[in-house]
Amino acid sequence: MRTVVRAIAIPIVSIALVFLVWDLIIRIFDVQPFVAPSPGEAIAALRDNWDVLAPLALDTIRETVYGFVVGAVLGIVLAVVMAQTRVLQGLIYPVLITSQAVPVIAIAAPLVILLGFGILPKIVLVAWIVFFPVAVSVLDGLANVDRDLLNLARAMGGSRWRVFVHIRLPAAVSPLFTGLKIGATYAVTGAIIGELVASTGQSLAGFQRTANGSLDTPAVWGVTLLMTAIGIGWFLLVVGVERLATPWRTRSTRRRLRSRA
Amino acid sequence: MTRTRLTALLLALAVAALVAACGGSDSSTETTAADTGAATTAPAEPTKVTFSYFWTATEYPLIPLVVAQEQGMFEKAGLDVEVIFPPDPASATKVLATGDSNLGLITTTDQVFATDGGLPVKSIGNYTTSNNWGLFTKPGDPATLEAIKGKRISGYGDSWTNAMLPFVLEEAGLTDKDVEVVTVDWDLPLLLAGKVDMSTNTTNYLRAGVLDETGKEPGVLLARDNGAPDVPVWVYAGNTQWMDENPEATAAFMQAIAEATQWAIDNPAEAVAAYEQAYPDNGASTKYNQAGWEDLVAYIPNADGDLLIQTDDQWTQLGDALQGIGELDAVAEPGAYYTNEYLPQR
Repeated sequence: MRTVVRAIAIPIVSIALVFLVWDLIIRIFDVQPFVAPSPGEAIAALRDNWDVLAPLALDTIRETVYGFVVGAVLGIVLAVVMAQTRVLQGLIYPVLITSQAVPVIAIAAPLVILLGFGILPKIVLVAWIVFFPVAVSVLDGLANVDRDLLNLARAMGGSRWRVFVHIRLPAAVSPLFTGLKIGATYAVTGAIIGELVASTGQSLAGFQRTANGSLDTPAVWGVTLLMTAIGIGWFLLVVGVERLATPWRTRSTRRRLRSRA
Repeated sequence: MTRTRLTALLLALAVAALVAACGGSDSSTETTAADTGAATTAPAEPTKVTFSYFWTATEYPLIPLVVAQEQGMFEKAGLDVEVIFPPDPASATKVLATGDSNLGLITTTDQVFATDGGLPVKSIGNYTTSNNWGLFTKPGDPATLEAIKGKRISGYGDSWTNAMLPFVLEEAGLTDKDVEVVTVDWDLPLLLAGKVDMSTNTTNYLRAGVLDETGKEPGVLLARDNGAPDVPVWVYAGNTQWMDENPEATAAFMQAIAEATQWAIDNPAEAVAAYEQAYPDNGASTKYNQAGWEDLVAYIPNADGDLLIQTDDQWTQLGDALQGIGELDAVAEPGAYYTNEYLPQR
């Protein structure tokens, strides 16, 4: 129980400290509200515009989730394909790296022309950002299995498929979640870029741009807080799934903590 | 000992006389500058002016600045002008308000919001005097009020578009329910690709872009001719504290800008060439720059051919439009938005 409380309390204190430092910077350097508001002003602006922002936030969450799932599946598939032979890895890996070297903003506009103003280009942008850390992490997991374990499985007559399913794939689960957590933090950025480039009607990014143009800086920062919260929320959800999917990691941690106590 | 004291006294008197002479020299310079006017007589040390543009990179609307720089009008006015660019368009006013720039170009909506927010920024002269915002279609497509219904129209999600579009829709007997408005980051490729039916923009940017890409004229539905107020889009503005401390430099700047603007209107090709020489890496074709500047020139003088002069009416109309769409709680007195006191005397 104490561990759970600590696990919740420490991040809350950490976030509170960030807000405190933010507030102190505004006060100490006497930053004008039109340049940057205090956390209180930003939160107040968020509260004042909540009726408008809530449905827009749901749209952004939808874009983020769909894109994340597509990106994660694509990343896993690519990693599995690359893990089969060195030739395939040699062919695909440079393309993956090149894809991440291309500024996302540069492909955003052509995507809209190709895919329209709806949710599709946003999903593609999020997937574009998410698939890479997932693919690289899973590939590392698949490639770095204990050699002795593999040799033992083969010596016991394990087929290529059974070795893959029973040894390689489980070894890639932990790296998979590392990749998913990295992707989760960046996913919302892809959705926001997509909204900025083109949207039918209003969007979180569009609201932020309009507020910026109207010199409503507290609203701009309020929306930024909301976008950040979406990213953090999604990250925490992935962490939750990770705990459920890899219980052995949590258990060993508990044992360690208990033995220390 | 007495001789030493006498020598010290004489030396002290000599130093005092020298200091007094230097001080006298300074004050006589000030008197001369004040008497003759900074706009016509260059002081020994030019006044440094930081000028911020409304966009994040160089564009041909900087032509009056470039001409004033290249043709020595700033130098004659005793000014050393440096041009800076804001990190994003919405920050153009903030850069002025923080004092990072002294003078700058901003949109009229920026000025209204700045006044509403109590920012120390005031408009000191019109850049354009007329509204060149409108709806555009790709070459060959009709740009009429009758053609608007049911169309997909792109906008930048900016306050200007939000304020002006309802006027045009109302003139067409429509509401925003009768069209699909999409927010975009750059409209030209979407218009030319047929992904939007109409695009909202100012003539100098959209028309120049279409001409540059296709060599053909786009369809133009000018808002001022279709229900929207005929108000300027861009103005010269300044940080009020800096302008209060440097009234002569501010007036000298506007004098130089007036001369440079008139020259650039009279000599458009040479003006574009001067701009491209000053900014060879401006990233646009000469065809685009020429088309854009030649289009913009039509909106710079007012109906009487005068430059820069602002009116109460333009600010009241814009304030009313912004209040009408709920982006402004109250319209201020026109004098809160602008002053003509720094403009050259007619």
